[in-house]
Amino acid sequence: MKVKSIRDLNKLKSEGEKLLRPKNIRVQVGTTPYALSRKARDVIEKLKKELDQQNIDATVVRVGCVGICYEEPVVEVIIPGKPKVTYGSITVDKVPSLVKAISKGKAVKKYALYRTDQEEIICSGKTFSYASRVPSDYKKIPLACEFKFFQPQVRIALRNAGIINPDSIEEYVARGGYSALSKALTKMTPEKVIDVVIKADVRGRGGGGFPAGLKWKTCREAKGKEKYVLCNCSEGDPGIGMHKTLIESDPHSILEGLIIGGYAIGAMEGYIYLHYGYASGKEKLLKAIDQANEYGLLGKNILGSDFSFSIILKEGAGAYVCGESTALMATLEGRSGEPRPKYIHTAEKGLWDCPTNLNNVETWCNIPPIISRGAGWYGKIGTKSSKGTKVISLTGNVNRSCLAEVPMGTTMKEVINKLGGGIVKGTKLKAIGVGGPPAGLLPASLADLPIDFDELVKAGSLLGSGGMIVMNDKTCVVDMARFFIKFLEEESCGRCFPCREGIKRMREILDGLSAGIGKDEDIDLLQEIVDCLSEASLCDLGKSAPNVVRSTLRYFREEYKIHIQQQVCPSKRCTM
Amino acid sequence: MNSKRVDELIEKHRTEKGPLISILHDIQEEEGYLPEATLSYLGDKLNTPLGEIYRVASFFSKAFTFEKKAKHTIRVCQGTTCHVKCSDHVLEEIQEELEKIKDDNFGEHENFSMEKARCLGCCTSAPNVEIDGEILDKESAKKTIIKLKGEK
Ligand SMILES: Cc1cc2nc3c(=O)[nH]c(=O)nc-3n(C[C@H](O)[C@H](O)[C@H](O)COP(=O)(O)O)c2cc1C
Repeated sequence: MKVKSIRDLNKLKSEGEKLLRPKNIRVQVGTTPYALSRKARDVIEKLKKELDQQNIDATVVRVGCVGICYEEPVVEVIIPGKPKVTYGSITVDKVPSLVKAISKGKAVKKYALYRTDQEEIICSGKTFSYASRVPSDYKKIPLACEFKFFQPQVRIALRNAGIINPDSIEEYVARGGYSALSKALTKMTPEKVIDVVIKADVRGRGGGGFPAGLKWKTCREAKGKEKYVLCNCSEGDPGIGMHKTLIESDPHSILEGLIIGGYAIGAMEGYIYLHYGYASGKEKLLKAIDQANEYGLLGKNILGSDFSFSIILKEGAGAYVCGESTALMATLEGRSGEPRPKYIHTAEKGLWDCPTNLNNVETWCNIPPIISRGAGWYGKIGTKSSKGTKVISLTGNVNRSCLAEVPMGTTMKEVINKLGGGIVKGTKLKAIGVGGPPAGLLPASLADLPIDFDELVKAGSLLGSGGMIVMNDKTCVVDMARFFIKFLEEESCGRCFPCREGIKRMREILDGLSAGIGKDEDIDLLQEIVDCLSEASLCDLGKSAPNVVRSTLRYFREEYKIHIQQQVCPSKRCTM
Repeated sequence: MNSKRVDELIEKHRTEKGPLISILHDIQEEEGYLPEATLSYLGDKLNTPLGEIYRVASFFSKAFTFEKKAKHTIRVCQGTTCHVKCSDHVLEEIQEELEKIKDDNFGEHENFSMEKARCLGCCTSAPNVEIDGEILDKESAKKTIIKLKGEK
């Protein structure tokens, strides 16, 4: 079927609604890598078998990830007319009792995390109600909004994560998907689309926080017949997995964003640059692209308009520097991923020397709801200078690792305590790394800082990708600085001298400090290299590489001194 | 890889602009490494100097190898979260485990190749070890190594 009009789209929508809320029972299981490592696959098999044996008319669906990693495998049960119930830590041996309860239309309180009576559909602003009346045994289960994990959250980029089957375009459409595209193509000029994105003041989620609308405008106005829009799914930051979750949970939201961007900028082709080795993500994206082509949401004359657009998926080859815009473009061209100087912006001369616009995955995911609901709606979420939400992957020495989306302005402390359930027992918060290797470390005393592009820069850090790694007092900051610097040393492409040599020298000094053979003058020398690198490196890898040393010298200088003067590591992490 | 298969791969990516990396991925996946003769033939066909192919392939040293990989791949994650949870010690322990096997008369050490992984994307269960695609904790990883060693 080709979707040629809003009517066709509505038909697809009602098919999706039938899948999401079928007449029979729907049981959905999260299948992220972590869930799978906790035997989610066995749980699915067991569920199918038990449901079958007890003769229950039910469909078991694989969904993406709700983000409650610490409770994986997560299973959700939707019985028609009853609230949706989310169960945590479901193991194979819990399945029979769960299925038994399902057969009686009941909920199992002891496994239940929360229930959902109604759900807001972000793209339309409407609410969908699962149950008009809540049975008494369900009332004992807390509502989703009473569940601590959801309290601080506003889910825009993750609007469908864990709710829809990522392989189903129908379910995506049923949640308001592709209605923004239809609105843009039928009711808005490209300039108007850009205008909304500018007014919404969306800043790039890939690290820098550059205003997306402005970038789109420059690219639209740049001279050139062929133009490209690109999606950065590089995710070179070690220690997070959130692009992966976005892709595996809701691939169509990325495509829809990219198609709208293509229309606004005047591009005929879009590329998705995918991190190397994401086999499951690749499969989901390829399937989504195929479906979109099949339904005419990609290809010639999309939705009956005169706009044509295609999306090509290209896999990277595993170098961190390829997340940088010019290196990413070189890789897409099939060359080695070395950055080039940016005297000429990629918005004017990017991929194959054509005007090119690159945005991060999360940025693209945010576009459809903004187009649907308008800049005014989006502007109400977040802070003055950082609008909207940020997806945060929280890991490290917290009680609960998770993936969540909070409004900008939420403090790091709230994230750690409310989402992460606080620091591991018996230890204290020492440092927070917010945005990967280039973001440096912030001390516990700054945990009250809000998640906000500018506030974090002021403190000498970066929001970066939003991978928040929490460290307790067993962590040694000199060791962490050494870890990040070693990573960057391996990842420096070696093209420019300051980065190639400077990072290496910093690593040698840090090696010395953690081996207990540091010298008094090392601190000054480190400071000198830090300043030189941020001034003289070719690309942002080298420019931001010293941040971790700079920030730890700023906030934890005493600890450096103890390593040098007393030749001990206070946290006993360095082996001296 | 025979030349017919290389031709097929080139054909597969015919409409793709800048297909070199995609073709290299395919060869790596099918052969487990990039054989010199194959690259040389590919260079002729694509009209790309062999030096340029090696430049690209060696730049991406994590994706491409020039030697055949061992039967079992052990990847010890050294991502940030894993590091916070002392993954460097895990690496040492796994290395020791492999050293033990080496002395044993049973298995061949060459059956295993060990890599440091950047991030296995499974930070919740850090520190992680991946053996042949399955994510494990340290103790199960050691057990798996012993089990795999027993298999001929
Ligand atoms: C070394 C380096 C690595 C980067 N890695 C990523 C990455 O993994 N993902 C990403 O979206 N942006 C990454 N960036 C930022 C991109 O260059 C670019 O600014 C961003 O994708 C633009 O999208 P945005 O404006 O939507 O954030 C990296 C930059 C540098 C210098």
